[in-house]
Amino acid sequence: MKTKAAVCWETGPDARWELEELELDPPGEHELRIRWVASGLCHSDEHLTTGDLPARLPMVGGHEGAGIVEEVGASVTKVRPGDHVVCSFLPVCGTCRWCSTGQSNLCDLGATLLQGSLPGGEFRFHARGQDLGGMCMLGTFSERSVVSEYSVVKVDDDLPLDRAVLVGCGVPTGWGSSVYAARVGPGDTVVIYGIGGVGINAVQGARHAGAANIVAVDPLPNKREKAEELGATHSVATGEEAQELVTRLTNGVLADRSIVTVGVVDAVVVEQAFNVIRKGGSVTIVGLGPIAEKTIQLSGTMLTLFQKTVQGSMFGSSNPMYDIRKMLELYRVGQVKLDELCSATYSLDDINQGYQDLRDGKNIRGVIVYDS
Amino acid sequence: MSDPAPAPAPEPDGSGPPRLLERIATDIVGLRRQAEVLAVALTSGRHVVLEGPPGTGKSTLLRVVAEETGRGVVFVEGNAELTPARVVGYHDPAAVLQSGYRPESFVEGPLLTAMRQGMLLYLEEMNRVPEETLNVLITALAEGEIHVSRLGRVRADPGFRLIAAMNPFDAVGTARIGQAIYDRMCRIAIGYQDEAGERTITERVTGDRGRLVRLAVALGRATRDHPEVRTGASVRGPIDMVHIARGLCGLRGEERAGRDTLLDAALAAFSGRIRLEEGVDRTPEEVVTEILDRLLAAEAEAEADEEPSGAPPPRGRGAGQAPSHGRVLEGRDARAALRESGRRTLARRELETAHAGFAEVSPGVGRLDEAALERLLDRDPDGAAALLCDLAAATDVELRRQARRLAARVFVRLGRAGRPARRGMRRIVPLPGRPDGDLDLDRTLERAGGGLPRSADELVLRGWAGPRRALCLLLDHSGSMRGQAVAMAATAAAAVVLAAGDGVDCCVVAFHRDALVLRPPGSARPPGRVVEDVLSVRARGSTDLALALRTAARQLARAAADERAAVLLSDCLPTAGGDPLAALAGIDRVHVLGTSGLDDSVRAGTALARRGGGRYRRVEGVAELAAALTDLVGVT
Repeated sequence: MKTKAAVCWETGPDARWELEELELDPPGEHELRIRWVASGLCHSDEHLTTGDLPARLPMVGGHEGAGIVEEVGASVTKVRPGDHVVCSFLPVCGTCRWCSTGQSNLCDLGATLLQGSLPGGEFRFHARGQDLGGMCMLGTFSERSVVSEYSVVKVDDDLPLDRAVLVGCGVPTGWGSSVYAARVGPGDTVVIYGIGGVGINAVQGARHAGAANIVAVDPLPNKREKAEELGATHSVATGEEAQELVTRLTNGVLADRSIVTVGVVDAVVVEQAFNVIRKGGSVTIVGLGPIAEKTIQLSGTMLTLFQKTVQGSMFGSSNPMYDIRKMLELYRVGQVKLDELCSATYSLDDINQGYQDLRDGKNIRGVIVYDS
Repeated sequence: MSDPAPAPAPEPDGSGPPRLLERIATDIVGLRRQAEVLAVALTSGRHVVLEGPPGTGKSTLLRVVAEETGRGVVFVEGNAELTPARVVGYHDPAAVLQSGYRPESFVEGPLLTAMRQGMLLYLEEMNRVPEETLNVLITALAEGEIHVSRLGRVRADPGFRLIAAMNPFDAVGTARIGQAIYDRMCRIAIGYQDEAGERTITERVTGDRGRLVRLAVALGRATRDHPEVRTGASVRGPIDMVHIARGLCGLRGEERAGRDTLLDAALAAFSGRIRLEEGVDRTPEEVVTEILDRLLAAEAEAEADEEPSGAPPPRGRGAGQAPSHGRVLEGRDARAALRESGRRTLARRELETAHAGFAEVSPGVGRLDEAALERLLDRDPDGAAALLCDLAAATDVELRRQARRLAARVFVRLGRAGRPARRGMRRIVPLPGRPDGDLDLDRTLERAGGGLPRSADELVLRGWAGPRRALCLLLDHSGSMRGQAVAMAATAAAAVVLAAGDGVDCCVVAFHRDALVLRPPGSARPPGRVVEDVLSVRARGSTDLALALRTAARQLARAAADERAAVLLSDCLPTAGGDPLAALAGIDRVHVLGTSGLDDSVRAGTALARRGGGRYRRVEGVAELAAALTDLVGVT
């Protein structure tokens, strides 16, 4: 069948999403076809067009999606047509070493995320005589996609999908980066660099974990304001201000945890995050940067003497199958805010405008809502 | 009313709108989209009503549009004295006496002029125009003609258009526009410009730019967001402030306007323009001073930080904002608290377990079978009402929306159920100082000392009058406020607000450890909306009865009434605050509707009602509620 999609054909500073009609194959044995209801505009897809993330091109963008199952392959037992699903940008096979030891955010099936093929290596999108991958094996910037059954999480059908879509990536990544990866505890002081789709949820996570001081760092006033609305106790524009504020707040002890969720991670922000933590504290890096660049340049001696930890975290070290549903449950009881996160909705045709707004810092999270 | 403008122009050609838009781009700040719609509506033969607060550029926009489309404009200022004759025209009595009813003796009004010559009729302040005058316009709008007695039919030239302007937020001396008029016009809503737009306007009008304009515009905008201000200032406020501040600077020889100069200018420009919320203790001067000081503090802080110029960025909220207890929230704050408290939503599976009738009433996601709910209401009113309340908190967005709409109807109906035919407690009483009523002969003679009365002052007249009463409903939403408890609160609220239509000034307050004023006395908030508010109120921990009673006393004090009563819907078991028996001052009667059959609760409720000079009644379901209210206070 045909489907309209936003495709990245080449990378570059001026690369744009091109809308194109693609041929979509029927689902294979362990696959299913989804009609997307909503797709989040995540910064990681922007990294795809800029080339920061070296992916196989051409690629259908989008890895934060919620939709309705239309057709399932012969061996799919997990969902049926008509089921509402939120997709995990990380597939979970359930049997590899990582999945079976409780680290399904590192599942081996994630190997082809940036190639965009399904676990068997097949491509289901075709155009101009080429196979197209789907970002993170999903390709949610398309009206419909064929995805692996390992990528879907069934959710209750009374949840609004245009809100639930946010728990496919940004919310658990941010929330988990505070709660799971950084292990924020009651009374902690946490500094969060970058208040975007991930950072704002790191704020929500830190609030849940009982942090006493949550300092949000972002140059844009609208984002600082949003951070305070959702739980930050303080907000500042720069890393220097954060350093000064935290020093004052903690009587010189410094912060327990810092979390880096800025759009493009560089050595400067990592160093700020490293300097702001106390002895024995930790820096958790969640954001991405150019893959070849060395974005961590720190004094190893300081690391040793102050016994600091610098760590990365994928998907906020959350477990997709468990945490996606958990985020929705927290939304239902009013403890995780989703309505407030979605700052603008777009049609698929306006996707480039959506990314322009993201670059301009207007959005906490933009969402494409499909009308089909 | 101004004179008709000269010669009507032909129907504008296709080049009209683009040229017009050029002018709009240069002459008008913002409003481009509205101008486009207006231009197209006019060229395609629609009549238009422009709605928006004062000072948003409605008249300016219209003037440009009228000039560019090349049509003349007839202006009519709408007010309560605008009779049909003043709009249509009238037969000159002198001329009629001389030569009878002839077309020549008819003095054309603006409507006829505009119709005959194909001009724009601009009616300002439409919602101040009396209804019978507006009705004259209906046929002119719908048929393009009107019938004037003794003059005959007048057909409108195809170029005739009506453009009306009104401020929908203006509550004094205004009337509601009937559906018949609205249905025949397109509506363009015009709001305030954004901050940059207001600055541009102020700069253009005053010829000033920089700090003064920035401060004045920020002050004007802050008045619109201030929690104690009902109506903020339009852009005319900042313009006046800049003019006056500049003049004062010249007079006082100041290079840069200091706080005193700015304050003098701000008070002159804003204190008369803003309207405070009902019951706010402060004066407009205090509010303006507070806003100005806040802006100046932000400015000083920004300068200290050597921030680049521009609006001061919002600062950190700072630590140490512990949640305070015992607050009384009104107006916007109450709305915000409701939005915040209404967060928790119920999944379909929870609803299914809690209510037997759920599957029947909501057969699928996003579906609400109203007929099924009505059947359930007949069978089991309490169960159905409880289900409806929980549906109004469903996770399912569509179901929640439908349930809230339905709930507003159902609870208003339940609230009406107890209404007896007799309304209130009207009695025949002497009416001092009123010229209507029946003569009370005996008392008149008595007053006149046995003889005939010598002046009108000695006449004693009697007539029907109800005592003026004010009633405050206090809804306890502490503890487990779900299902049935919410349903009872919603029904009681509807019943009490309906009573407001019978001349009883009613207010509604929901409370736990804080009190939320859902409807202040004298408010026009309709029962359906109050019911929606009650449905949004969620359970909270502790119960502060004393706070509730004090809040009731304060609300009732605002009402002009001879008797002030409160009705408390609660289990009367306070868990916070002081002794409720010591908080009865300012309320003439306190009645209690007990929601719990526990001995302690009944005892406490009875004691409270006795001390409050009222009565206690136990209610067990929604069906009893309206009747119980009628029984206690006789209002519904």
